[in-house]
Amino acid sequence: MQLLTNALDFINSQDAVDLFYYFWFFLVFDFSRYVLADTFFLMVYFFKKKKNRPVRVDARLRLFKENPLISIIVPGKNEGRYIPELAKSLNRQTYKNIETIIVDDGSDDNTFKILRKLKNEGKIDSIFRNDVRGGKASAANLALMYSNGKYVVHLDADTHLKEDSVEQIIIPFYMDSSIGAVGGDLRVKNIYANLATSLQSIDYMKSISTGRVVNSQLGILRIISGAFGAFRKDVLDQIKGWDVGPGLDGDLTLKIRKLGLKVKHEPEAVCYTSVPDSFIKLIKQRYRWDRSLVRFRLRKHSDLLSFKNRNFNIFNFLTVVDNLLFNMVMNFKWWIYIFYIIFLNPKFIAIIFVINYLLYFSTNVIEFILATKLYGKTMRFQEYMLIIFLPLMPLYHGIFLRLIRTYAHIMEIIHRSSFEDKWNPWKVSKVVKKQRF
Amino acid sequence: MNIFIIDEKKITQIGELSVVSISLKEIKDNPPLESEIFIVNCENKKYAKAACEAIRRDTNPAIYLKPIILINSNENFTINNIADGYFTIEQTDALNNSFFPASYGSINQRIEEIQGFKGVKDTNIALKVLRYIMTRKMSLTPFRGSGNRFGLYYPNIDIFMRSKDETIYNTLDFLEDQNLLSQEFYEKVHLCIHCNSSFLNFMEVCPHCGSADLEDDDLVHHFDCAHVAPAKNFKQNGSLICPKCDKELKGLGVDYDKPATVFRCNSCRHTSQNPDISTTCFHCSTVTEPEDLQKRKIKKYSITALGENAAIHGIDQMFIQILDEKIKILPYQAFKILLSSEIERIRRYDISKSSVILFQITQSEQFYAQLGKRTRQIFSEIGDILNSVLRTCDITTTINEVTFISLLPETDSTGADVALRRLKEKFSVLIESNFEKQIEINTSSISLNKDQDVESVLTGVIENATAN
Repeated sequence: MQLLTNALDFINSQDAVDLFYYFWFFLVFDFSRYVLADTFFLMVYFFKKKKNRPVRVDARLRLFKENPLISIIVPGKNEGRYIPELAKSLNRQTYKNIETIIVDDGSDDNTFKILRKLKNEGKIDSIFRNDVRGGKASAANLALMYSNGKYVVHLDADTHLKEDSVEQIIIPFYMDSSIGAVGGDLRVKNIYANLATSLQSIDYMKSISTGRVVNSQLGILRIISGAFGAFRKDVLDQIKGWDVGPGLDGDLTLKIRKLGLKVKHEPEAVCYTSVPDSFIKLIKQRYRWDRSLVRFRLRKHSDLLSFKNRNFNIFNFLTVVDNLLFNMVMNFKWWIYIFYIIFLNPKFIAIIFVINYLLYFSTNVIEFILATKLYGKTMRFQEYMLIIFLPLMPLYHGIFLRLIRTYAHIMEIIHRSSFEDKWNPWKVSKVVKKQRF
Repeated sequence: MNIFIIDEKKITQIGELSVVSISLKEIKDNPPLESEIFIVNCENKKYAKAACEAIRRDTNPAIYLKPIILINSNENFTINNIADGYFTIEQTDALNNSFFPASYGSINQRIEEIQGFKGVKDTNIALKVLRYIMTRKMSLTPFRGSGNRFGLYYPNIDIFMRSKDETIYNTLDFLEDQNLLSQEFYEKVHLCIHCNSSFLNFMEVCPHCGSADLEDDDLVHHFDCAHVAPAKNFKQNGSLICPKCDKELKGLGVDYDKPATVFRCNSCRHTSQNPDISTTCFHCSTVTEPEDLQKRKIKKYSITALGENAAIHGIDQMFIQILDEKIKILPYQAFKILLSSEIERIRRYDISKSSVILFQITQSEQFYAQLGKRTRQIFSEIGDILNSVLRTCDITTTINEVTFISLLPETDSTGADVALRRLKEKFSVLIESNFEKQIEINTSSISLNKDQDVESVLTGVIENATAN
């Protein structure tokens, strides 16, 4: 309480220039980018959604009239235990003309037995099995090879869908023919497994739901999540499917953008997914994700930043710039800010920390409210209850994730460590490491 | 030593061996009981097979159990498996008298041990099989071959049967069930649900349209770009070129592998990694899913101590034991004493009428062949029928397990006919519901009078039944 009083006294004693001097990082980057911009563009989204309702209704009618086959592809290893629930949710879909193709990528448990049972029961349509693991990209490509649909929906095995999710994710293709891919909205299904999953749930509401809607509005959406993403089959055929990961979702999205096609996020296409249920697993996952920024945005698709590029596109440019700026540059800048405060104003560290905490906490509250507005009727009671974890979010997002991100970027820049990741089979990593983007 | 040869040339000397020639017709009509060994000349295979069948299908143990030796045979003749021994053309010339007793005398010694019921022949196929195994001291091992629909058969006992169906397996099941034979697993066969043939064509078929016109191809996974496609998509001018990244693949395990195989249907273009399996029977063309096929264990058999005893003394006692649980069956000799006493009573007082009735199951070979493991149940039901029709004062005996004779005191010929009609009706129902092939019942009755004796009554009632 004393610290809080000191903090208020500190604010009162400083003029506006001084305050900016101490809190420029928050004001320039986080507040403007994640509060002001998100609020504004979310409002734009709501406005457009209302305005485009007749267009959406018409698109839905055309979808059901044409009734195209939609291939649902699910690659995975040792994930048989999740498939029955997934198959159940697929069989409950409002859109019926779907084929389910599951690829068992070298499982060494009872996955294939479960798949065969489901196939015999008619709950899934096709199963393929690689006797030896080839990795997620090759498993997805195998499914793509034998998918017959006009659209391909890629799902993670540990997900399940809301009843109308398939139609909701396909409708945008009928609203705009220049859309090449649509991302679904991911919600956490194991919200209260432990503290790690609860904090991730709030993060998903902010970053995936609100964040991707805003990026989609801005035309700078950089990732269609592999957990739930829909693609035009002809587009996937043209770019010949997925390349070796990790980070293959973002890579695929940029490949689609390079074709001049739009990518969209569809918040009404809801998918429930499991998130890592321990902080160790979370660290490993984020470490993998964060390295892909360097590997793909900075290296493989660096041509998107070149004005000399014949196919230069301002939105593709901004997509990569936004990603690099706010996830990489600002991350390093944050460390500079920390050093700056510690070494130049060591006597105010505690007060500045408290004020920053309060500022970031307020941001999280605003972002949470925005997310509840976005979720609307689909907001579950358990998601409302996440509010009790909001006080932890500044530490989770501002310090925990930032530490992982920084380490991941350094390791990838210096050591190309993503090529050593066990996420890919060793045989694949060994070959891919020799590639130079 | 009495050695008979069955051949067309009427030869009397084989090498140093003196033999008595006999024709195929003679062996069928009037087989020589004194023969110790039958030699069959295989110069005419068809004739030789017919000769072996004639011997083994006889019902007299003194004929069907006798050793059969083939001469002028060939290593590849299938009938070699039927015989107790065979000599090739080269070996035949070296035959001499001293050879046979040493090799086959023990079989004849065991045949001597068998105490056949005088005048009653071994019509029971189960008894024939048991006696054959006992006299040979052999294990009954199946042979692999196309001569039988199961693909595995027992040639040396199959020959007892005229039909090439599963009768012999039912018989073996029965003998095993009665602990007369012990079994050892040999092999499991899958059989057509329609005709029981094991000659089945297992085919991979398209799970979409059922066509067997499938082409299989290995999937190739290129590590560099994660492209996966059938190997044929990579093949260009003798090299493997990735259709995604245009790189030439270096080597299996180096930059690519083959994680799976896929099947493509040439009829409907459906691709699957897991084709269905379908079976088509080579005999009757029935198409079946493998899981619907019948499965049968084929076994190797050895005779048990109980089996040896039954082979020597007959197995009719066993059936009578089953019947005995429902109705009292008197020993034949005891029945004759009581019948004699009844005839004497009629002769002395001449005031009452009594009758003797007989009923007999015909085609006993088929009867046993179709019974198999149901034997105990069927004989139990026969006991129930006898019990329901006959009175407690009636006396019943058997002369074998398919021929029943009853003395009905204070019953005239009309009453006896009523009893026989009822028995026949109830048997007909039992047979219709348990047997596929027609089994007939012979019946006869005779009224006792003071002028008859026991033998004339029994002979008369047996002959009448045969005549019916």
